[in-house]
Amino acid sequence: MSPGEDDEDMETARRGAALMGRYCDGDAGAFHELYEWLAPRILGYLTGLCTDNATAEDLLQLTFLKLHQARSVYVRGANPVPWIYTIAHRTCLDELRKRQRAKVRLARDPEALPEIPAHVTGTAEAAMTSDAPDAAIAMAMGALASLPHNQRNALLLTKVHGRTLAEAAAITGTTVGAVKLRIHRGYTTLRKALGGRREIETSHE
Amino acid sequence: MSNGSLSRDLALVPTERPAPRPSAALLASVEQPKPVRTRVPLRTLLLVGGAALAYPVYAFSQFPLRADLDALPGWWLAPVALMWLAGFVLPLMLALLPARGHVLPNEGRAGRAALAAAILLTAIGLVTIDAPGRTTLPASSWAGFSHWWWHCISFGLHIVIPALLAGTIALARVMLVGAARLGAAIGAAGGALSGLTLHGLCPIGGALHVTTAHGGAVVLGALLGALVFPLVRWLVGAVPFRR
Repeated sequence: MSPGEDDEDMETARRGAALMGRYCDGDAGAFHELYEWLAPRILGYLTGLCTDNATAEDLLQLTFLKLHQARSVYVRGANPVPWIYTIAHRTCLDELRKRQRAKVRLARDPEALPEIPAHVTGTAEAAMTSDAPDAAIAMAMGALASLPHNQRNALLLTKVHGRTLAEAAAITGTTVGAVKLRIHRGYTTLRKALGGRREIETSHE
Repeated sequence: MSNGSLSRDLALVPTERPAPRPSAALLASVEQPKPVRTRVPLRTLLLVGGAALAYPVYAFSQFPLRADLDALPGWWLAPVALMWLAGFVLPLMLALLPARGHVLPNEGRAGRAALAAAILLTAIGLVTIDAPGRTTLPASSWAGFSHWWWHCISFGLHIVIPALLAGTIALARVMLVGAARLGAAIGAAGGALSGLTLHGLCPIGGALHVTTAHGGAVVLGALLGALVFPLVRWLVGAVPFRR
Protein backbone atom coordinates (compact mmCIF):
# COMPACT_ATOMS: atom_id res chain seq x y z
CA MET A 1 0.00 0.00 0.00
CA SER A 2 1.40 3.38 -1.01
CA PRO A 3 1.79 6.30 1.47
CA GLY A 4 -0.95 8.17 -0.44
CA GLU A 5 -3.39 5.30 0.01
CA ASP A 6 -2.39 5.10 3.69
CA ASP A 7 -3.20 8.79 4.19
CA GLU A 8 -6.51 8.32 2.41
CA ASP A 9 -7.38 5.39 4.68
CA MET A 10 -6.45 7.45 7.75
CA GLU A 11 -8.64 10.29 6.54
CA THR A 12 -11.55 7.88 5.87
CA ALA A 13 -11.14 6.40 9.34
CA ARG A 14 -11.04 9.85 10.98
CA ARG A 15 -14.07 11.11 9.06
CA GLY A 16 -16.05 7.92 9.76
CA ALA A 17 -15.16 8.01 13.47
CA ALA A 18 -16.18 11.67 13.77
CA LEU A 19 -19.51 11.11 12.01
CA MET A 20 -20.34 7.98 14.02
CA GLY A 21 -19.42 9.76 17.24
CA ARG A 22 -21.84 12.61 16.47
CA TYR A 23 -24.51 10.17 15.35
CA CYS A 24 -24.23 8.18 18.60
CA ASP A 25 -24.58 11.47 20.49
CA GLY A 26 -28.01 11.92 18.86
CA ASP A 27 -27.17 14.13 15.88
CA ALA A 28 -29.57 13.17 13.04
CA GLY A 29 -27.56 15.33 10.63
CA ALA A 30 -24.55 13.09 11.14
CA PHE A 31 -26.62 10.09 10.04
CA HIS A 32 -27.58 11.88 6.82
CA GLU A 33 -23.94 12.83 6.18
CA LEU A 34 -22.89 9.24 6.81
CA TYR A 35 -25.60 8.01 4.44
CA GLU A 36 -24.63 10.47 1.70
CA TRP A 37 -20.99 9.47 2.06
CA LEU A 38 -21.22 5.68 2.36
CA ALA A 39 -24.54 4.64 0.76
CA PRO A 40 -23.22 4.77 -2.85
CA ARG A 41 -20.23 2.58 -1.90
CA ILE A 42 -22.33 0.12 0.10
CA LEU A 43 -24.90 0.00 -2.71
CA GLY A 44 -22.10 -0.71 -5.19
CA TYR A 45 -20.91 -3.58 -2.98
CA LEU A 46 -24.42 -4.98 -2.46
CA THR A 47 -25.18 -4.80 -6.19
CA GLY A 48 -22.02 -6.74 -6.92
CA LEU A 49 -22.89 -9.24 -4.21
CA CYS A 50 -26.50 -10.01 -5.10
CA THR A 51 -26.32 -8.91 -8.81
CA ASP A 52 -29.82 -7.45 -8.62
CA ASN A 53 -30.33 -3.68 -8.46
CA ALA A 54 -33.75 -3.66 -6.78
CA THR A 55 -32.73 -6.16 -4.09
CA ALA A 56 -29.50 -4.26 -3.49
CA GLU A 57 -31.46 -1.04 -2.90
CA ASP A 58 -33.75 -2.82 -0.40
CA LEU A 59 -30.71 -4.29 1.35
CA LEU A 60 -29.10 -0.86 1.52
CA GLN A 61 -32.09 0.49 3.46
CA LEU A 62 -32.03 -2.57 5.72
CA THR A 63 -28.29 -2.18 6.29
CA PHE A 64 -28.65 1.40 7.48
CA LEU A 65 -31.68 0.46 9.59
CA LYS A 66 -29.55 -2.25 11.24
CA LEU A 67 -26.73 0.23 11.69
CA HIS A 68 -29.15 2.55 13.47
CA GLN A 69 -30.36 -0.25 15.74
CA ALA A 70 -26.84 -1.45 16.49
CA ARG A 71 -25.17 1.95 16.95
CA SER A 72 -24.59 1.26 20.64
CA VAL A 73 -22.20 -1.52 19.54
CA TYR A 74 -19.90 1.08 17.99
CA VAL A 75 -16.59 1.68 19.77
CA ARG A 76 -15.76 5.38 19.88
CA GLY A 77 -12.77 6.36 17.77
CA ALA A 78 -12.92 3.22 15.61
CA ASN A 79 -13.23 3.24 11.83
CA PRO A 80 -16.89 2.34 11.16
CA VAL A 81 -16.45 1.60 7.43
CA PRO A 82 -15.38 -2.10 7.64
CA TRP A 83 -18.08 -2.63 10.29
CA ILE A 84 -20.77 -1.18 7.99
CA TYR A 85 -19.51 -3.41 5.17
CA THR A 86 -19.85 -6.38 7.57
CA ILE A 87 -23.44 -5.40 8.41
CA ALA A 88 -24.20 -5.10 4.68
CA HIS A 89 -22.56 -8.46 3.96
CA ARG A 90 -24.46 -10.20 6.77
CA THR A 91 -27.75 -8.57 5.77
CA CYS A 92 -27.27 -9.75 2.19
CA LEU A 93 -26.44 -13.32 3.24
CA ASP A 94 -29.44 -13.48 5.59
CA GLU A 95 -31.72 -12.18 2.86
CA LEU A 96 -30.41 -14.61 0.23
CA ARG A 97 -30.85 -17.52 2.65
CA LYS A 98 -34.37 -16.36 3.52
CA ARG A 99 -35.26 -16.26 -0.17
CA GLN A 100 -33.77 -19.69 -0.73
CA ARG A 101 -35.92 -21.09 2.11
CA ALA A 102 -39.01 -19.36 0.72
CA LYS A 103 -38.36 -20.94 -2.69
CA VAL A 104 -38.06 -24.38 -1.11
CA ARG A 105 -41.32 -23.89 0.83
CA LEU A 106 -43.13 -22.78 -2.32
CA ALA A 107 -41.82 -25.74 -4.27
CA ARG A 108 -42.99 -28.18 -1.59
CA ASP A 109 -46.51 -26.72 -1.45
CA PRO A 110 -48.63 -28.73 -3.92
CA GLU A 111 -51.32 -26.04 -3.96
CA ALA A 112 -48.89 -23.27 -4.84
CA LEU A 113 -49.05 -21.79 -8.29
CA PRO A 114 -45.92 -22.01 -10.44
CA GLU A 115 -43.76 -18.94 -10.24
CA ILE A 116 -44.29 -16.68 -13.27
CA PRO A 117 -41.08 -15.22 -14.69
CA ALA A 118 -41.10 -11.42 -14.46
CA HIS A 119 -38.99 -10.94 -17.61
CA VAL A 120 -36.96 -8.36 -15.72
CA THR A 121 -33.47 -9.64 -15.09
CA GLY A 122 -31.90 -6.58 -13.49
CA THR A 123 -28.54 -8.27 -13.46
CA ALA A 124 -25.35 -6.32 -13.01
CA GLU A 125 -24.24 -7.60 -16.39
CA ALA A 126 -27.22 -6.10 -18.20
CA ALA A 127 -27.04 -2.86 -16.25
CA MET A 128 -23.38 -2.40 -16.90
CA THR A 129 -23.59 -3.35 -20.58
CA SER A 130 -26.15 -0.64 -21.17
CA ASP A 131 -24.51 2.07 -19.06
CA ALA A 132 -20.79 1.42 -19.12
CA PRO A 133 -18.89 3.11 -21.86
CA ASP A 134 -16.06 0.67 -21.63
CA ALA A 135 -16.59 -2.84 -22.94
CA ALA A 136 -13.86 -4.14 -20.62
CA ILE A 137 -15.80 -2.93 -17.57
CA ALA A 138 -18.99 -4.51 -18.86
CA MET A 139 -17.20 -7.78 -19.48
CA ALA A 140 -15.53 -7.73 -16.08
CA MET A 141 -18.88 -7.03 -14.39
CA GLY A 142 -20.60 -9.79 -16.34
CA ALA A 143 -17.86 -12.29 -15.55
CA LEU A 144 -17.89 -11.27 -11.87
CA ALA A 145 -21.64 -11.82 -11.68
CA SER A 146 -21.21 -15.37 -12.98
CA LEU A 147 -18.68 -16.33 -10.28
CA PRO A 148 -19.64 -18.47 -7.26
CA HIS A 149 -20.73 -16.30 -4.34
CA ASN A 150 -17.58 -16.74 -2.20
CA GLN A 151 -15.17 -15.99 -5.05
CA ARG A 152 -17.18 -13.00 -6.24
CA ASN A 153 -17.29 -11.65 -2.73
CA ALA A 154 -13.53 -11.95 -2.19
CA LEU A 155 -12.74 -10.27 -5.53
CA LEU A 156 -15.32 -7.52 -4.98
CA LEU A 157 -13.96 -6.59 -1.58
CA THR A 158 -10.25 -6.70 -2.39
CA LYS A 159 -9.93 -5.84 -6.07
CA VAL A 160 -12.95 -3.61 -6.64
CA HIS A 161 -13.57 -1.95 -3.25
CA GLY A 162 -9.92 -1.85 -2.22
CA ARG A 163 -10.32 -3.53 1.18
CA THR A 164 -7.22 -5.23 2.59
CA LEU A 165 -7.08 -9.03 2.86
CA ALA A 166 -7.49 -8.77 6.64
CA GLU A 167 -10.51 -6.49 6.29
CA ALA A 168 -12.08 -8.76 3.67
CA ALA A 169 -11.54 -11.72 6.00
CA ALA A 170 -13.15 -9.86 8.89
CA ILE A 171 -16.11 -8.70 6.78
CA THR A 172 -16.84 -12.19 5.46
CA GLY A 173 -16.04 -13.98 8.72
CA THR A 174 -13.26 -16.11 7.32
CA THR A 175 -9.47 -16.27 7.41
CA VAL A 176 -6.95 -14.35 5.30
CA GLY A 177 -5.80 -17.67 3.82
CA ALA A 178 -9.35 -18.51 2.72
CA VAL A 179 -9.75 -15.07 1.12
CA LYS A 180 -6.47 -15.56 -0.80
CA LEU A 181 -7.65 -18.97 -1.99
CA ARG A 182 -11.01 -17.55 -3.12
CA ILE A 183 -9.25 -14.75 -5.00
CA HIS A 184 -6.99 -17.28 -6.71
CA ARG A 185 -9.94 -19.48 -7.68
CA GLY A 186 -11.91 -16.42 -8.74
CA TYR A 187 -9.06 -15.33 -11.01
CA THR A 188 -8.89 -18.78 -12.57
CA THR A 189 -12.64 -18.78 -13.29
CA LEU A 190 -12.56 -15.17 -14.50
CA ARG A 191 -9.63 -15.87 -16.79
CA LYS A 192 -11.56 -18.71 -18.41
CA ALA A 193 -14.75 -16.66 -18.72
CA LEU A 194 -13.11 -13.46 -19.98
CA GLY A 195 -10.66 -15.29 -22.23
CA GLY A 196 -13.56 -17.17 -23.85
CA ARG A 197 -15.59 -14.01 -24.35
CA ARG A 198 -12.68 -12.07 -25.81
CA GLU A 199 -11.98 -14.91 -28.24
CA ILE A 200 -15.63 -14.81 -29.37
CA GLU A 201 -15.49 -11.03 -29.80
CA THR A 202 -12.25 -11.21 -31.75
CA SER A 203 -13.67 -13.88 -34.09
CA HIS A 204 -16.80 -11.68 -34.67
CA GLU A 205 -14.62 -8.71 -35.57
CA MET B 1 -4.58 -13.31 -19.56
CA SER B 2 -2.48 -12.49 -16.48
CA ASN B 3 -3.65 -11.73 -12.92
CA GLY B 4 -2.29 -8.20 -13.43
CA SER B 5 -4.52 -7.48 -16.39
CA LEU B 6 -7.48 -9.04 -14.57
CA SER B 7 -6.75 -6.80 -11.57
CA ARG B 8 -6.66 -3.77 -13.90
CA ASP B 9 -10.03 -4.77 -15.42
CA LEU B 10 -11.54 -5.24 -11.97
CA ALA B 11 -10.14 -1.93 -10.75
CA LEU B 12 -12.13 -0.26 -13.54
CA VAL B 13 -15.42 -1.63 -12.20
CA PRO B 14 -17.27 1.26 -10.56
CA THR B 15 -17.29 0.95 -6.77
CA GLU B 16 -20.22 3.29 -6.28
CA ARG B 17 -23.80 3.47 -7.50
CA PRO B 18 -26.05 6.49 -7.00
CA ALA B 19 -28.00 5.60 -3.87
CA PRO B 20 -31.71 6.28 -3.49
CA ARG B 21 -32.88 8.61 -0.72
CA PRO B 22 -33.37 6.91 2.67
CA SER B 23 -36.74 5.14 2.79
CA ALA B 24 -39.64 6.47 4.87
CA ALA B 25 -39.15 3.69 7.44
CA LEU B 26 -35.47 4.51 7.78
CA LEU B 27 -36.14 8.25 8.04
CA ALA B 28 -38.80 7.66 10.70
CA SER B 29 -36.29 5.64 12.73
CA VAL B 30 -33.46 8.15 12.56
CA GLU B 31 -35.56 11.33 12.76
CA GLN B 32 -34.59 12.06 16.34
CA PRO B 33 -31.98 9.49 17.32
CA LYS B 34 -31.57 9.09 21.06
CA PRO B 35 -28.02 9.50 22.29
CA VAL B 36 -26.65 6.04 23.08
CA ARG B 37 -23.92 4.83 25.37
CA THR B 38 -21.44 3.21 23.03
CA ARG B 39 -19.67 -0.05 23.76
CA VAL B 40 -16.53 -0.03 25.88
CA PRO B 41 -14.81 -3.37 25.15
CA LEU B 42 -12.82 -3.27 28.39
CA ARG B 43 -16.10 -3.13 30.32
CA THR B 44 -17.31 -6.19 28.38
CA LEU B 45 -14.08 -7.98 29.28
CA LEU B 46 -14.59 -7.17 32.97
CA LEU B 47 -18.22 -8.34 32.81
CA VAL B 48 -17.44 -11.70 31.18
CA GLY B 49 -14.22 -12.17 33.18
CA GLY B 50 -16.10 -11.32 36.39
CA ALA B 51 -18.87 -13.82 35.59
CA ALA B 52 -16.24 -16.51 35.00
CA LEU B 53 -14.31 -15.64 38.18
CA ALA B 54 -17.32 -15.72 40.54
CA TYR B 55 -17.30 -19.49 41.10
CA PRO B 56 -13.50 -19.87 41.47
CA VAL B 57 -13.53 -17.12 44.12
CA TYR B 58 -16.33 -18.94 45.94
CA ALA B 59 -14.53 -22.30 45.55
CA PHE B 60 -11.21 -21.00 46.92
CA SER B 61 -13.04 -19.50 49.92
CA GLN B 62 -15.03 -22.70 50.65
CA PHE B 63 -12.87 -25.68 49.70
CA PRO B 64 -9.44 -26.63 51.06
CA LEU B 65 -6.37 -26.50 48.82
CA ARG B 66 -5.18 -29.85 47.43
CA ALA B 67 -3.51 -31.91 50.12
CA ASP B 68 -0.36 -32.65 48.07
CA LEU B 69 0.34 -29.00 47.20
CA ASP B 70 3.41 -28.63 49.45
CA ALA B 71 4.86 -31.91 48.14
CA LEU B 72 4.74 -30.87 44.46
CA PRO B 73 7.79 -29.17 42.87
CA GLY B 74 7.49 -25.41 42.35
CA TRP B 75 9.22 -25.61 38.94
CA TRP B 76 6.20 -27.62 37.74
CA LEU B 77 3.39 -25.97 39.74
CA ALA B 78 4.08 -22.37 38.68
CA PRO B 79 4.57 -22.79 34.89
CA VAL B 80 1.53 -25.05 34.64
CA ALA B 81 -0.54 -22.50 36.60
CA LEU B 82 0.72 -19.79 34.21
CA MET B 83 -0.33 -21.88 31.21
CA TRP B 84 -3.84 -22.32 32.62
CA LEU B 85 -3.94 -18.57 33.32
CA ALA B 86 -2.79 -17.74 29.77
CA GLY B 87 -5.47 -20.13 28.48
CA PHE B 88 -8.05 -18.06 30.33
CA VAL B 89 -6.78 -14.54 29.59
CA LEU B 90 -5.66 -14.75 25.93
CA PRO B 91 -8.76 -16.28 24.27
CA LEU B 92 -11.00 -14.05 26.39
CA MET B 93 -9.10 -10.90 25.35
CA LEU B 94 -9.07 -11.90 21.69
CA ALA B 95 -12.80 -12.67 21.75
CA LEU B 96 -13.81 -9.44 23.46
CA LEU B 97 -11.28 -6.72 22.65
CA PRO B 98 -11.17 -5.46 19.06
CA ALA B 99 -7.83 -4.34 17.65
CA ARG B 100 -7.15 -0.61 17.88
CA GLY B 101 -9.35 1.31 15.42
CA HIS B 102 -11.74 -1.63 14.87
CA VAL B 103 -15.34 -2.07 16.00
CA LEU B 104 -15.48 -5.87 16.00
CA PRO B 105 -13.13 -8.35 17.66
CA ASN B 106 -11.04 -10.48 15.31
CA GLU B 107 -12.98 -13.72 15.48
CA GLY B 108 -10.37 -15.56 13.40
CA ARG B 109 -7.65 -14.98 16.00
CA ALA B 110 -10.10 -15.79 18.80
CA GLY B 111 -10.94 -19.09 17.11
CA ARG B 112 -7.27 -19.99 16.68
CA ALA B 113 -6.63 -19.13 20.34
CA ALA B 114 -9.50 -21.42 21.38
CA LEU B 115 -8.07 -24.26 19.30
CA ALA B 116 -4.55 -23.72 20.68
CA ALA B 117 -5.87 -23.60 24.27
CA ALA B 118 -7.86 -26.81 23.77
CA ILE B 119 -4.83 -28.68 22.37
CA LEU B 120 -2.14 -27.34 24.72
CA LEU B 121 -4.17 -27.49 27.91
CA THR B 122 -5.35 -31.01 27.20
CA ALA B 123 -1.71 -31.97 26.62
CA ILE B 124 -0.81 -30.59 30.08
CA GLY B 125 -2.26 -33.78 31.51
CA LEU B 126 0.54 -35.71 29.83
CA VAL B 127 3.19 -33.86 31.84
CA THR B 128 1.35 -33.99 35.14
CA ILE B 129 3.41 -34.80 38.22
CA ASP B 130 2.10 -36.65 41.25
CA ALA B 131 3.55 -36.68 44.76
CA PRO B 132 3.89 -40.37 45.68
CA GLY B 133 1.92 -41.17 48.77
CA ARG B 134 0.28 -37.72 48.88
CA THR B 135 -1.63 -37.42 45.59
CA THR B 136 -4.91 -39.34 45.45
CA LEU B 137 -5.17 -41.43 42.31
CA PRO B 138 -8.62 -42.35 40.98
CA ALA B 139 -9.64 -45.98 41.35
CA SER B 140 -8.61 -48.05 38.37
CA SER B 141 -12.22 -49.14 37.85
CA TRP B 142 -14.42 -47.38 35.29
CA ALA B 143 -16.89 -46.35 38.04
CA GLY B 144 -14.13 -44.75 40.11
CA PHE B 145 -12.63 -42.94 37.12
CA SER B 146 -15.98 -41.66 35.79
CA HIS B 147 -17.08 -40.50 39.26
CA TRP B 148 -14.08 -38.14 39.59
CA TRP B 149 -14.22 -37.21 35.90
CA TRP B 150 -17.80 -36.00 36.27
CA HIS B 151 -16.90 -34.28 39.56
CA CYS B 152 -14.28 -32.09 37.83
CA ILE B 153 -16.23 -31.58 34.59
CA SER B 154 -19.31 -30.38 36.52
CA PHE B 155 -17.01 -28.09 38.52
CA GLY B 156 -15.82 -26.68 35.17
CA LEU B 157 -19.37 -26.17 33.95
CA HIS B 158 -20.01 -23.90 36.98
CA ILE B 159 -17.40 -21.57 35.42
CA VAL B 160 -18.03 -22.12 31.71
CA ILE B 161 -21.80 -21.56 31.80
CA PRO B 162 -21.77 -18.12 33.54
CA ALA B 163 -18.94 -17.03 31.19
CA LEU B 164 -20.94 -18.09 28.14
CA LEU B 165 -24.12 -16.46 29.46
CA ALA B 166 -22.33 -13.17 30.11
CA GLY B 167 -20.61 -13.47 26.73
CA THR B 168 -23.86 -13.97 24.83
CA ILE B 169 -25.41 -10.97 26.59
CA ALA B 170 -22.37 -8.79 25.92
CA LEU B 171 -21.84 -9.89 22.30
CA ALA B 172 -25.42 -10.53 21.13
CA ARG B 173 -25.33 -7.66 18.64
CA VAL B 174 -21.57 -7.69 18.11
CA MET B 175 -21.14 -11.13 16.58
CA LEU B 176 -22.15 -10.41 13.00
CA VAL B 177 -19.75 -13.00 11.64
CA GLY B 178 -17.75 -15.83 13.22
CA ALA B 179 -20.10 -16.32 16.19
CA ALA B 180 -18.96 -19.94 16.59
CA ARG B 181 -15.30 -18.90 16.89
CA LEU B 182 -16.07 -16.15 19.42
CA GLY B 183 -18.17 -18.62 21.44
CA ALA B 184 -15.43 -21.24 21.29
CA ALA B 185 -12.88 -18.73 22.60
CA ILE B 186 -15.05 -17.68 25.56
CA GLY B 187 -15.96 -21.29 26.34
CA ALA B 188 -12.31 -22.37 26.17
CA ALA B 189 -11.34 -19.45 28.44
CA GLY B 190 -13.93 -20.61 31.00
CA GLY B 191 -12.59 -24.16 30.78
CA ALA B 192 -9.01 -22.93 31.26
CA LEU B 193 -10.04 -20.97 34.36
CA SER B 194 -11.65 -24.13 35.68
CA GLY B 195 -8.35 -25.95 35.03
CA LEU B 196 -6.44 -23.26 36.92
CA THR B 197 -8.80 -23.51 39.89
CA LEU B 198 -8.61 -27.31 39.90
CA HIS B 199 -4.80 -27.07 39.68
CA GLY B 200 -4.97 -25.58 43.17
CA LEU B 201 -7.94 -27.48 44.57
CA CYS B 202 -8.38 -30.92 42.97
CA PRO B 203 -6.83 -33.67 45.12
CA ILE B 204 -7.02 -36.19 42.27
CA GLY B 205 -3.93 -36.79 40.17
CA GLY B 206 -3.05 -39.09 37.29
CA ALA B 207 -2.47 -38.17 33.65
CA LEU B 208 -5.75 -39.64 32.44
CA HIS B 209 -7.82 -37.69 34.99
CA VAL B 210 -6.05 -34.36 34.38
CA THR B 211 -6.18 -34.77 30.59
CA THR B 212 -9.79 -35.82 30.27
CA ALA B 213 -11.40 -33.94 33.17
CA HIS B 214 -9.35 -30.74 33.58
CA GLY B 215 -8.29 -30.42 29.93
CA GLY B 216 -11.64 -31.86 28.89
CA ALA B 217 -13.39 -28.85 30.45
CA VAL B 218 -11.54 -26.61 27.96
CA VAL B 219 -12.65 -28.76 25.01
CA LEU B 220 -16.20 -29.02 26.35
CA GLY B 221 -16.35 -25.25 26.98
CA ALA B 222 -15.13 -24.50 23.44
CA LEU B 223 -17.67 -26.89 21.93
CA LEU B 224 -20.52 -25.47 24.03
CA GLY B 225 -19.59 -21.92 23.03
CA ALA B 226 -19.30 -22.86 19.37
CA LEU B 227 -22.81 -24.30 19.52
CA VAL B 228 -24.53 -21.68 21.67
CA PHE B 229 -23.22 -18.46 20.12
CA PRO B 230 -24.42 -19.08 16.53
CA LEU B 231 -27.81 -20.02 17.98
CA VAL B 232 -27.96 -16.72 19.88
CA ARG B 233 -26.85 -14.83 16.77
CA TRP B 234 -29.60 -16.54 14.80
CA LEU B 235 -32.19 -15.70 17.47
CA VAL B 236 -31.10 -12.07 17.62
CA GLY B 237 -31.22 -11.90 13.82
CA ALA B 238 -34.70 -13.44 13.80
CA VAL B 239 -36.11 -10.78 16.15
CA PRO B 240 -37.76 -8.10 13.99
CA PHE B 241 -36.18 -4.68 14.24
CA ARG B 242 -38.01 -2.05 16.27
CA ARG B 243 -39.16 0.78 14.04
